[in-house]
Parts: sequence; C-alpha cells; structure tokens
Amino acid sequence: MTDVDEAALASRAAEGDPDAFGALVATHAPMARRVAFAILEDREDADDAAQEGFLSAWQAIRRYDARRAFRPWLIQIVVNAARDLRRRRRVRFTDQLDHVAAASRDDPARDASATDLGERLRAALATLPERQRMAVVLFDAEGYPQAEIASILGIPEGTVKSDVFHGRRALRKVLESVKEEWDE
Amino acid sequence: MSDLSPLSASRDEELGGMMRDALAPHHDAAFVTRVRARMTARQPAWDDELARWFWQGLAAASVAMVVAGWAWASGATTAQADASVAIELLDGARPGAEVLLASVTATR
Repeated sequence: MTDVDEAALASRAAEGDPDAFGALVATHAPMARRVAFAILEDREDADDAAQEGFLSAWQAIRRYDARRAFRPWLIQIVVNAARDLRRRRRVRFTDQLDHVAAASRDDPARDASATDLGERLRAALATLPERQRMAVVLFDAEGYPQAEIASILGIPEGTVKSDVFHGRRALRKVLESVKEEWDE
Repeated sequence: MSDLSPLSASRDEELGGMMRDALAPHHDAAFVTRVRARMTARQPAWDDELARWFWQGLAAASVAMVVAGWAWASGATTAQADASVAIELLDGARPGAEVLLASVTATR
C-alpha cells in the first residue's frame, strides 16, 4: 500500500468509514502484533493488546489528523495499550514473571530449549531492558526514524541511539554464538 | 550486518529482518476478523465531533455579541441592527460567520 492510498484510507476512516479502518487494520496488524509481542513477550497478551490498540484508535479516529502519517499515530496507541496490559498483568503475576525472567537471564545463548534462530533471538530480546528492546525493534525491525521512536517512547533521541547500539550489541553476541554452532 | 557504532543512524536490515521473522505473529487473517467484529461495539466517540464544533460556535457567538453591542451603543433601530447583522453575515469576512448565517436562516 502506498502512502497516498494509506492517507486516503485514513482520511475516510477519520470520517467514520469502518471498511477503510478495517483495511488499515489488515495492513498494520502484523506490525502492531510484533511490537506488542516485543513488549509483552507473550503471544496471547500481545494479540489482546494489539486488538485493544486498534479498537482504541477506531474510537478516537475523529481526533486523528489526516494530514499526518497514520502509522506513528497508531503505534503510539498500541504501545500504550501493551504497556497498560503489562502493568495490569504485573500486578497479578509478579512472582511468576520474576521467576521466568530470572531463568531466561541466566544465559539465553545456552538455553537448551532454544533450538532455532528465532527462539534464540526471542530469548535474547527478552533479556534486554524493555526500553532497549523497543528501541532496537522499532528502529531495525519496523523502520521508524530515531526521532519518532524518541517521541513514541517519551525519551530523548540520544537515548534511543544509545539503546539501539547496546541492544544490537547484545543481539549480535547471540547471533554469533549461533553461527559458531552452525559452523562446527 | 551494519557496523556497530553508537552514532550510526542507519538501519541494520539483516538484523531487522531476523527480528521480524522471530517476532512474526500467526493467523493474521483471523486476528483482523476478530478486530473487525469488535469494531461495531466500539463506535467512534461523538464528543470529539462536538469538540470540533465548539470553537466555531464560540466564534459565531462572539460575532453576534459584537454586532449587537455595536448596534445598541450606536442607538440603531431594530431594523438597522438587523441590516447590520445581515451585512456582517453576508460579508463572510468574520470567522464563524457562515455558521451563524446557517443558524439564522434555519430559524426563519
């Protein structure tokens, strides 16, 4: 979908057209679900948060300024929904989460259950502090400019740069260890 | 993979692609269907629409008050005041004049 198509759809959606908004949901669902998963580290929770983000965006669609890009506006809402859900979940499951996090922080590269690259990468992402994880996912995986990420996460642009750098370094370490295993 | 540098402002396409694969969700179509089914229960809020009209209504009321005040201060007759208001409305130069004109014509 081109930017022009998307702007036209967003404009129609802002007038309350559910089909136009549905088309935007179909376009952005994979990205929204990936970003929610990067925050929540659980598929079901991520889908709940992404869904809540889309529905909140739909309810607030008349506040959307159609002259601006739709994607950053949407992702801000999805990130907020995911953080809200995590906050609620943390209250309920603090003990279990601490236990899981401690286990995965020991050494994700040597986690016996992490057999393929995707699992290893997810495990490595889970060891990063959330802000670092979000910065590297939004920048390298989703292609957001650093200034926009700073605005989404509410942090200075310099901090985003630093988080991307440290996040990449940690992930690269894991990827190198996988490559070494494959070479042996 | 791109060079590691804290000052780098370019994306690492290879790492980005691997992360997208690792985080990729399943059953996108089912998810989209689920969201669309719930959209009917969560309609866009109309208070946003009312808020959008608030400032135009306020501008129209301000114009009406200024015109009425001017007519009263200059001792104009009711007929003269009506004519002044009409001129202001038809002129359309003041903000909100078209909204006020619409409300005046609707009541007559």
